[in-house]
Amino acid sequence: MRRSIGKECVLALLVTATGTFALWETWDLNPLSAIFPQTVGGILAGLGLFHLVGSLLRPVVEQRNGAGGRRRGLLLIASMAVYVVLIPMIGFLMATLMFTGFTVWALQGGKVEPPRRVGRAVLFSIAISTGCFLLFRYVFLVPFPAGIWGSWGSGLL
Amino acid sequence: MELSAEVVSSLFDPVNLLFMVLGVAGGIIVGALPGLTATMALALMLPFTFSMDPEAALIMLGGIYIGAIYGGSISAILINTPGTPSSIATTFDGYPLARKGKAEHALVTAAFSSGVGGILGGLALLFFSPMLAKLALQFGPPEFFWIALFGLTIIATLSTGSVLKGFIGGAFGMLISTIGIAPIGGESRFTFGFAPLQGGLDLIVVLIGLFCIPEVIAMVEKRDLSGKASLHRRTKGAARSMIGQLVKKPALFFRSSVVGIITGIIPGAGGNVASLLSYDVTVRLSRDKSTFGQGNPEGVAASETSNNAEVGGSLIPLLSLGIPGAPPAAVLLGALMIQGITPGPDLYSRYPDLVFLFIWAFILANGVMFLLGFFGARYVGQIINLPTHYLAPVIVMLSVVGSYAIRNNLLDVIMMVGFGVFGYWAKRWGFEPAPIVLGLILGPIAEAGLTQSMLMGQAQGSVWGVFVTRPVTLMLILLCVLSLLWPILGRIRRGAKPSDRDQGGSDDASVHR
Repeated sequence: MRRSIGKECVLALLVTATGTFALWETWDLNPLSAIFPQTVGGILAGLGLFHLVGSLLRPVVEQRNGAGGRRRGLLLIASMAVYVVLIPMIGFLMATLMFTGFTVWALQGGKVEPPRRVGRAVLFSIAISTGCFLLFRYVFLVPFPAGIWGSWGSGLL
Repeated sequence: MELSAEVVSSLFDPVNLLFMVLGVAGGIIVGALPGLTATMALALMLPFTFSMDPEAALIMLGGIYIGAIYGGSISAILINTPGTPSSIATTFDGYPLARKGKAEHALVTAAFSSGVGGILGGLALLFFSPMLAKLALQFGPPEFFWIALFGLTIIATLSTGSVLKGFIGGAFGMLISTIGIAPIGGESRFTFGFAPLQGGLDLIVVLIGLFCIPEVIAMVEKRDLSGKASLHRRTKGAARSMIGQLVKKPALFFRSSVVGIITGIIPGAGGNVASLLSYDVTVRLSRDKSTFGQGNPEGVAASETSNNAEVGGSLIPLLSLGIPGAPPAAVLLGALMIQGITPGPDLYSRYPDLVFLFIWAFILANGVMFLLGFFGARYVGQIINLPTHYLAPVIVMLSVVGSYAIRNNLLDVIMMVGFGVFGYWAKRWGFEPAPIVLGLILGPIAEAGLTQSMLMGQAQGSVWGVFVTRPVTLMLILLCVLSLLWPILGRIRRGAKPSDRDQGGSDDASVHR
């Protein structure tokens, strides 16, 4: 744990900047379009300044998380980002297969021997991705992106 | 009231009963899937009712509506993601209960409370419809503006730690609710020339992102050596003992139902507002506020009673005036019109058997929903026992599908992940998702109320006079003041001196989550 004046000040400045930006961005709009975002922007900027004064006077105590946990979290964030990028490129089903397969494999860590780790990841990803795809595509009629599979894949993938 | 022989025979007709059970079960499944709302469930099923006779069609659609609202609590409890926006407040205590290995307790509490709330909402629909429908007509733009402000006063309850950060979150939520074309002025705001943003942010997308993704990331970070997110322990007789505890709190159910019914009657304020208001009232009136947000079943009961009572409430203006009180009720309006029935003041005299059959079936369907929830809880609760390496990707996948399915738009998926990562960092900086989502829900209501009232006031010669001169607005202003002063009144009542607050002032209405 450590005292954190800087972090809270940065946060307060960010909030103030967001509120000020809202005021600036809506300055030349007609009154009926501007009044609400301007009011809220003003309130946000005011709250940010209030927080800035408060954090300068009374710094708060920050708790830190373990590095191992943070790494797993970042890995999940990165794989989600790749997943979202892949959906329009290779279609929903293929992207989901890759995402679930990789995540299950990666999150098992070193607790399972490699052959079983890969086997579980492959089987689980096929079962869950295909099941989800069939449910949403054919029962709830959600038209998923087909990506490179084009019009052929829009019906199947 | 009218329970004629014809209504009874139709009510217990095996085919109608089958459609009721199918509707409730289907609604529960759809409601439990993040992103698929009660409105969507009804809209999906609507085409299948074209060829059905009106009785069966309405019974099934009513069952879907009830089931979907309850179903939203399942994912709220198990994975901290409200399946429907109505279950936002269920996450506050439902998920902590699941994390403590008491998922079955939480699910049974939700089923029982939903059943009680639904039945009380149905009884209000049956006995007080014409009288309560008049209330809906009392609400104009100034009242909606004050309702939104009243809703914002509950931020103090939703905030953990710093109330100031709660208010910052609420203001931020309101600000992002203004993205897109202004509802009255018509100009684009904060779209930066990017056309897809003109439609604004979808509440469900932000909801899934802020509630679900940070929790999955935290789950992955904190998983224990067994690889399990949490351990659901089956306790024999847990469900029965839970109900035994709940029946000792009739005031909680009555109060939450009244909040739900009144919120449902007011067009535009949905189950999400009902559950948050009811949760707020329950926390404020509780003697031990510190247990809320840490797995207090009363929090789950307050939210679920209210959001299911809201279903009955939303049907009151629909049947009596032809005005839907909530989006799913609007789909039901469509279903009625497809069958050649136009709701309105003469509905009860023109189609008495059909209307009373629908209302009695609605009440019975709540019982069916309770039975399904009660007996299903022990099996559904096992989901929490899945190891994290399986559970986390499934939750992310469902979140992606749910956010995409709303508008079939990939931008919504990107937004969901973006808000998820933002929510994760915001949580680390002391911001909870609930005030942000509250701001997002109430922002459009407040803005439309503000601008329309200004136009009304302008026409009447005083722009601001309209906000403070109508009887209902005065009552709402009083409620806002009372809500803000409640913590101080509580201290005066207890004769205690103001306690030390954290920076920004966490007060005794705030809960610990």
